[in-house]
Amino acid sequence: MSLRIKSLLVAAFTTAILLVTFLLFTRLILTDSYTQLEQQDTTAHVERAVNALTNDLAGLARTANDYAAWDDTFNFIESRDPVYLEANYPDATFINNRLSVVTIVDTQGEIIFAKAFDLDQEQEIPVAPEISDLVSSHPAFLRPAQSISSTVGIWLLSTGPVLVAVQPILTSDGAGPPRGALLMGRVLSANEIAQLSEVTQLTLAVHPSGAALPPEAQAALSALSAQQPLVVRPLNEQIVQGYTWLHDITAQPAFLLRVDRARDIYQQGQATFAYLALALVVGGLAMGGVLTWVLQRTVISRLGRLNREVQTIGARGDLTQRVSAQGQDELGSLAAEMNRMLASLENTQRLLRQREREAITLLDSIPAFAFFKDTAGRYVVANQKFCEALQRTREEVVGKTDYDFYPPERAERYRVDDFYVTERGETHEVSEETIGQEPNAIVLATKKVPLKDESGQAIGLIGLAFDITERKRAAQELAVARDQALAALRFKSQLLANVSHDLRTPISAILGFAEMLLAEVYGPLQEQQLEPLTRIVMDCNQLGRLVSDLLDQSRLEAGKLTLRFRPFAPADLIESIKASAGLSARDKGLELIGLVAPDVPPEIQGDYERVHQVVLNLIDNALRFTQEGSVTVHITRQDPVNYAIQVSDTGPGIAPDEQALVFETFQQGSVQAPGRYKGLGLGLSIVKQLVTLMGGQVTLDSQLGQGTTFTISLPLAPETKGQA
Amino acid sequence: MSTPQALVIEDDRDLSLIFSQAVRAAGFEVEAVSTNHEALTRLADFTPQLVTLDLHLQQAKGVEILYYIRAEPRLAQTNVILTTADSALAETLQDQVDYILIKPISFTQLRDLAARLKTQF
Repeated sequence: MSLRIKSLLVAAFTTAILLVTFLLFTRLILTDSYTQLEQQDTTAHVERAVNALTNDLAGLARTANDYAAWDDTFNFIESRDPVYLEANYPDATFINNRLSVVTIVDTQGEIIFAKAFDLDQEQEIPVAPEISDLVSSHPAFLRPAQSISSTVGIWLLSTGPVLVAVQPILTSDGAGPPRGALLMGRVLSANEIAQLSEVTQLTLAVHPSGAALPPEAQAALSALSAQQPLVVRPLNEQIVQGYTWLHDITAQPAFLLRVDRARDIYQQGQATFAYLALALVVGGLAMGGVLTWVLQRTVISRLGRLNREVQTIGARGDLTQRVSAQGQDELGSLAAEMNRMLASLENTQRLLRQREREAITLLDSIPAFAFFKDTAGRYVVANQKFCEALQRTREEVVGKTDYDFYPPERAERYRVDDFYVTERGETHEVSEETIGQEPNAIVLATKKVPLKDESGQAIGLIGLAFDITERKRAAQELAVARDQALAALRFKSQLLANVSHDLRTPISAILGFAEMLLAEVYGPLQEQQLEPLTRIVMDCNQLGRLVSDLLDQSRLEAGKLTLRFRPFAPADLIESIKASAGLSARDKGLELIGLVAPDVPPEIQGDYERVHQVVLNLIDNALRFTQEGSVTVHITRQDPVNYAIQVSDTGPGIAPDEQALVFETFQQGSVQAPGRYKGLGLGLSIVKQLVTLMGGQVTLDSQLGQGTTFTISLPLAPETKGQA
Repeated sequence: MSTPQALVIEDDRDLSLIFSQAVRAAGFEVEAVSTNHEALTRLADFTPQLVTLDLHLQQAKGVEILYYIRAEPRLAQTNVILTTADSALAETLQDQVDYILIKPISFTQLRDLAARLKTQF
């Protein structure tokens, strides 16, 4: 039901309710007042009718008195002169005074004269016998004559009610004693009633007591009582009737007087109400019409237009449209607000589209197959690469499932994977999946991540599949290359080990023979033979150490060098070093000094062979670069755990910028020993690597011209169980 | 006190000669063998105070001879000097030998070591 019809109905209904309520109340109040007015009016008229009757009676009494208090009448009682009767009671007297009966009674109660007259027929009629009953029974005629009083009232005869007046017969002066009583009566005939009606301008009727009553009179009769001597009852819409009892001279109900009145007041009330109702209905309709018109014009038609415009925008989804905003009222404000909302929505929609374009661009730009699926497995978004792989357009992919693109088994497998992702919220990863047959097979690494809405409800998944075919191939090639390199390294190490072993034996032989010659095992030497033999020995030692360095370097590179800890005496170390390097020192005229600090225990623990090798390398290095003076090896204790072995020389020193490089592999001094064979430059590098391996460190302190001191700091604490 | 005896086990003829001379110069009476078989045969009825042992014998590994000596109670007092070019292998055996000399081995070094050992007897 439209707002227009609704508002119309509401207006109509409200107006109707208002009108009906108002009219009902009005009618109630008006009817009541007009009925009351009618009652009062009718009551007044009934009373007027009664008064008219009373006046009639009074007139009758006066007429009776005129005849009774008259000398002629007074005398007549004595004389009984018929002339008096003929002269005073002809028919004319009856007609003129509207008398129905005249009776003269003497003080003995004897009726002297009685004449009845039919006023309607204007002729004398027999006197009704009830007259004598009245004369004989009524107090007005009581004897003695002095008590005869003036009496007026109604006497009900069998023929109908009669107005009667009884007067004592006196002299014209009114002197008594009364000689009798004069009764005059007037029948309350239809004419009389009509005459009364005429006089009073009332519609009158009488219903003698005991006579048959019409139903409405019967009803009025039953309502009459001593407390309510007057009853007003409407007969119909046109006539209202007032009823009251009139009593006879014996105080018995004589007849019911009825006054009929046109219901002018009531009808006027009805008419007033009708006019009022009409005015109200017309006014109400007019007001409702105006109200509806105004409502229609100011609200409903605008609302309708707004509604149509919003529906149009909604149906088209065109957020660039605006509703027409008119007026400064709430509707205008509502329309303006809707326009703001539309603008905001349009902006949001534009942003969303922008985001969507960005997302698609992003997806298209990544070097992977990327897609979104909903929980039913339908593709929502797919990137270019994915679509190309499927040889479909994006429109052909979106909305489809894997069953549309892949063989059933594969699609089923993907569906199961998707189910785990969306239903359990687990990320699903397939690190390697080969698709197709060689040589066209590709290898995919797939990752599927659950996609959830704000409430955490799964709405689908994001899938990314990377083509790792090339990477896989490269990795395989790399693995092969690595294996080859490792094999080459192993071969190199083995070769080095073999070569060094094979070199050592002849070196040992050359060294041994030279030493034997020097030791004069083969006979005394001449002075000039000593020099070359010593050189041979020294060069052989040098050669031996070079071979060892090569082997150690290759082992260090391969990480194959292991340490063997055992207790040894520092003194033995010094002794062995001096034995090994003594010849070289003596040959160069250098003093080789070995010192052990007093707080160093007689036995310490470490890898003796490596410590020996390190120290000998340093001494060899020192001897090589020192031209005169001495080389000193000094063992001291730094703390309970660490010991220092210092090798100092009185050589040329090492320039600061070269100090950082001396421990580098294949580096060697540039100026210290010009023109001499410098070795491979492995010595100090191996020293550093070995010391580091043994958990120590090597430092160097040198100034040009001030000599050089290498300090090896090593954890050599004795008897530390579990160290090896 | 009789002259202490030494057995030089070395397959290289030159080195065998040098080692023998060095040990002899230290005051030992020296015999030299060049094969695993010869060494084991000789040690069956010979109890030297000193053995120099080359690990890389041609026929077999010298380590078998070391195990034999260490397993033979009669040779419990025998000092074994390992003479080898392979320091890595030598290190694995250092608990079972008395001294290790890595080739090239100095004539004087072996002579002086042998001389020092001789004083124990």
